[in-house]
Amino acid sequence: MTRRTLLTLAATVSLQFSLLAENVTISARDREASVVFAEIMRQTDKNFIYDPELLRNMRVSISAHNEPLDKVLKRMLTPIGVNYRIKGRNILLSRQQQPKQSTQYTVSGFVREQGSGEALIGAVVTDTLTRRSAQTNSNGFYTLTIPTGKAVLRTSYPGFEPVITDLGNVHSKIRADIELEMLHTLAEIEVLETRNHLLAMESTHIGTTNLSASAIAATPTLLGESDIIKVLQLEPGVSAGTEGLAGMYVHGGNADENLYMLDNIPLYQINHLGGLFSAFNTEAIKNADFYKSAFPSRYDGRLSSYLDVHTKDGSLSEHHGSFTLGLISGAFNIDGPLKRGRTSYSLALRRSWLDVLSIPALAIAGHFLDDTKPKFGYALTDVNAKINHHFSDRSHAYVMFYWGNDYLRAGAEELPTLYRDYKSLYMSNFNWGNLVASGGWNYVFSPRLYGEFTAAFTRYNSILKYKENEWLYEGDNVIEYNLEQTKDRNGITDWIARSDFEWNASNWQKVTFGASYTHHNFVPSHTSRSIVTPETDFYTERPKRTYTANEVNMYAGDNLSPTANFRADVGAHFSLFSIEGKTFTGFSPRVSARLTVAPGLAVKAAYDHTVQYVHQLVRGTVSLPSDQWVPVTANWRPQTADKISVGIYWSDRRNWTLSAEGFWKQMHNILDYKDNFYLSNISEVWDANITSGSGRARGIDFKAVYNAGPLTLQASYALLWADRKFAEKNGGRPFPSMFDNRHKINLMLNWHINDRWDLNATWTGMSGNRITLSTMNWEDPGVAPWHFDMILPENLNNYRLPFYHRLDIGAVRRTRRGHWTFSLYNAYCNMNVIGVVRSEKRDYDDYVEIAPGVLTTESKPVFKYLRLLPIIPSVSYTWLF
Amino acid sequence: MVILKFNLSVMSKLLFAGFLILLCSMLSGCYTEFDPDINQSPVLCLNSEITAGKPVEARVTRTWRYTEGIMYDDNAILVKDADVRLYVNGNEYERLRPVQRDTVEYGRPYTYHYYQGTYCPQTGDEIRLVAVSDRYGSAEGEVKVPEPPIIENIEWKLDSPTLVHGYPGSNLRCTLDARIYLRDRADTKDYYMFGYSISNPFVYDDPIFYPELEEWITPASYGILSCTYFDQSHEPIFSEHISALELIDGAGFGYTMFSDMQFSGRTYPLHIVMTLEHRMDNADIEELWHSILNFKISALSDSYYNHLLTVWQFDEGLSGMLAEAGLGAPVNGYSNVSTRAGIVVARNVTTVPVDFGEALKEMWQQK
Repeated sequence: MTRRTLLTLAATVSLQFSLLAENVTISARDREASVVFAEIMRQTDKNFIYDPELLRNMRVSISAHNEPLDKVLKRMLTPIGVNYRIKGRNILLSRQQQPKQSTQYTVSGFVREQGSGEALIGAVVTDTLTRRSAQTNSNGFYTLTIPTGKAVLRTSYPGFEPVITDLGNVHSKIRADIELEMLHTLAEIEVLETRNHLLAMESTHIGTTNLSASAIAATPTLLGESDIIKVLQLEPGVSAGTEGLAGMYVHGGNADENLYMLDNIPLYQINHLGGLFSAFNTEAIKNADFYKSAFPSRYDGRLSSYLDVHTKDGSLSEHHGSFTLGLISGAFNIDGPLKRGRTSYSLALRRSWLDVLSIPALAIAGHFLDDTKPKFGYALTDVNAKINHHFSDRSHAYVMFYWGNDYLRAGAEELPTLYRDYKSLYMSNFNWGNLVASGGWNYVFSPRLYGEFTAAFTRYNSILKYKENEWLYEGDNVIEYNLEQTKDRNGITDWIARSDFEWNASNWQKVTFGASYTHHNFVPSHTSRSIVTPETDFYTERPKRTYTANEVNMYAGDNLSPTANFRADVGAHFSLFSIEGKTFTGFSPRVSARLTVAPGLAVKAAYDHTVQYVHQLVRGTVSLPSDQWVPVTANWRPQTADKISVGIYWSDRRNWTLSAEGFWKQMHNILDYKDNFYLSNISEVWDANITSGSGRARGIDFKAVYNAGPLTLQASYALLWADRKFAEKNGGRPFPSMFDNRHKINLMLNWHINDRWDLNATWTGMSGNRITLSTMNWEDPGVAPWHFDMILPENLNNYRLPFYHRLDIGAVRRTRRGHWTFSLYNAYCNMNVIGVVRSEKRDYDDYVEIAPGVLTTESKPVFKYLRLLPIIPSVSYTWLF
Repeated sequence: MVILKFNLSVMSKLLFAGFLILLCSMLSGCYTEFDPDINQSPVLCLNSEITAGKPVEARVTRTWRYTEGIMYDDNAILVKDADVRLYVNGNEYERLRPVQRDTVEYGRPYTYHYYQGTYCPQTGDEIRLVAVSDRYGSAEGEVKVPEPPIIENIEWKLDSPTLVHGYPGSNLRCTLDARIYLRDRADTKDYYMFGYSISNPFVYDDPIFYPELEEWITPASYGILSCTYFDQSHEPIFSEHISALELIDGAGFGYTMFSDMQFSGRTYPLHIVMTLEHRMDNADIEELWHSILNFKISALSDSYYNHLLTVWQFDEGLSGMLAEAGLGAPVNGYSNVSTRAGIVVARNVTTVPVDFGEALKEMWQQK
């Protein structure tokens, strides 16, 4: 007896009801067909007889109030291509017959949000008769090939009302643009498939996450500033690094092994305020794709992860915007049509006002220090702007601009007094940030071929200045002065030209291919210094060494789905990197596959090779503006990684999605500062300070998501081992990675309580970071100008900090004009340990005689944990217009 | 207008709340004491600074756990019974003998224990020291005595004379602008350090009899030349080891080591700018004008240079700063000793004495 027969029998036997009513009252929107049939069976005395394969993935919508069963069935089943026949107590279901000899035709078009016209990325378009489906690309374009005849499309996208589009009888290729309306309320019975559910169950990719702007905003974070990086830190396999900072260490990788992109253009420095906030303004984000295990062949250049943030296009129909006031920053966002239906714009501004907040503190300090004026100012600014224009239904272009900048100034001015005849000014000025400008043109060459051409400029620049001025007075006259200024600049500038294509060969084969050229210009450091006195005018400049590199990338990927149960992605990325007369080549094969072994159960496997030509030199655990981006040079080989991933996914197709993803990653030629790197003179080429080695990471990420309409619960657990081995570090012995967080648990709750209130909470717990803790000292030999006890080296990262845990709570209260956002960072105030310092404990009751008659209080050397960030409440208000 | 008023009201409340919260948060980082569960046994530490032409000395101690605390008493770490042997150019030369010297440190009597030999190392000697302790095992380190620096020439001028109030009388202040032409040897990697000392002359006055002491005492008058400010920033080679961020932080005072990386095999003019003050209360005594400023250029062994770089990094560098803040790995002491504790370093000094007497007098007379 076959499995199918058994299931049919089971379905039949189970449908025994005593009610005889023939009228039905039911309301269902995009529900699984089996659920709706069960409700009809409950209300009538009928049983449904069908082949279970017929109902696989079938969803129906119906609204009826005390209507005859026959009418209800007709309305519900005809649009989805199902015939029915009522025979006695049984309702027999069968698929509508298709013409025996049919030719194929292509349906293509864009899926957009109704009203605004924003492209919906990843929307699923399904032909309800053949069950064939396609997903929209990053510009909302889809292509579907179906047989001649009747065609009814069902289009769905998370958070939007699914749409049924009856195309009638079609006998040639057709263009069908589809608009979806956003859902404003969630009925209790509704169960929505999420994009991430689809990614888990349908796509071939392992470790892929999609984040919408609303999901980012719904995660409580530090000081109320929603931040995509801090949301991603909650993903299993992603370590956050140092408390409170926007660091990301994916599957045992380093911080510079993640490629951050804004509309597919790289951003090199994504940190504001030492990493407290990221460069991505949530107000400007439409959604983002994050890949941590298996990577599309389109991406290469980093070893560990890829984050592509898509910015808002702007509404084509009406103007609207928001104005947010937070504790430390404000944001303004507006978008709308420049030419209705054709051209749209989007503008988002964000600026902190720490400099404003610091004014009273400086005034108070200045009041108490009447001859000294402290000076301090910090501000971060982000500007995102985008203009889209639709030339025709096939041609669309955009220009995008991003400018993000931090400035920090700190210093003091000392004024002449009765007791002092000089004036001085000490001032440090730091400026750092990104500038991105890009333009793109998308063209639908044919329903099967879609192309995108992009030209872009991206630059990271950091300028540090220190000024030390002194003036000596005699009366009112300056008799001496000393004006010193030191300036340093580092940066990286890229010019990029790229083309990307999608060719939908058939429903079961989609080919992506493209090529790009990047011209890099690196300035790791350029330092100058000037001193002006009455006697001297001195200027010195360190040799400015710049690097120019040319990079060419080509890729091709083939997405194959020969059967409904099996899908595979096969592709490769090829790259050339030319610098200092030497050309490196990289070949990155990518293979990933998904097999649906049973309804709701899928297994996946992937192999990925990645190549990285640029890296960032980082000292310590805090991101500094002086951290340099440098290229691989003739002395070093490019960093590469090989990664094997496997995953198993289960879904009850209603509320639960469970997944387990294992990975094994081997990294080669990775670069890091070598032991005692400061012994290499800084005037030497920077790469004298670094060493090359290997890394290894392996682990498992478990994730469970429960989604019941207004309530989403998510739990994850990650197990990780990550280590490194360098010839010139730790005596050549392997050592654990700094962020080898062995166990990591995340719990998350999002609850849409009612139309006025949302509640969200996250709890994170993980094994502490690893640090190098040296406990032994040796005697100062006394040959240096200043004397200190020396530290005896220990094995690198030999000590694990205590277990880290934190609860964040957030709430949103909607008002008539906008909404309030409340958040509580570290709600139970567990001040986590971020480091260890050598310190002293002074006991004022315990005197020691260090010489005859000379007493002092005893000072005892101790180790101390440095704990940071207590409970931090915050509130912000967003005014919508 | 109403909306504007409303938003201004919200904004002012938020600003006030934000300021208070931020202030509280920034002040609330805290430290808690703990004792790490890492146990390491002490090992032998061997320190020795070899100077060409001076007898070899070495100090032998043991390593200690930081929390042990030896702030005011090093008896706990001294290894007085070690067997310390000196090898010169591969041959055992002698066994160093334990010596103690009474001195004063931190205002209290202090006995300095060390080991001393009789051999005075020469340029090019390969010196190896081996210390063995029954309790802490053995330690050994080796160094080669570098060639002395070649000073081709020195040019200097005194400028900007002013008379300033000093103690007990007035001082003649001026700026010294000197260029010391240092010739580097080709084909070798050389390390240097700049230093100076001042030798002040004195003349005996007539003896005075102190009846209460029943003793004749001969007082002396001193000519005192002092350097009140050594402006290192005029010589960029002193900051060649300092990164941009560290420069901006103003780090670097007191560290004058440098390498020949930028002038290997060539002559480099070291630019020295100092503010000098000459005491004028004995201006009528000719001999007291002639203080000697000794410019000392040392050639350093690579271990010496590395040690200085490490101490600088620990003291003023970014790595040291991050480590002190708990945000970076510790700056470990540089060691060329087998136990990774201690250093054996060598230097060879060339001294260039300069007598500013005539120039000072001339300047004084013109003023």
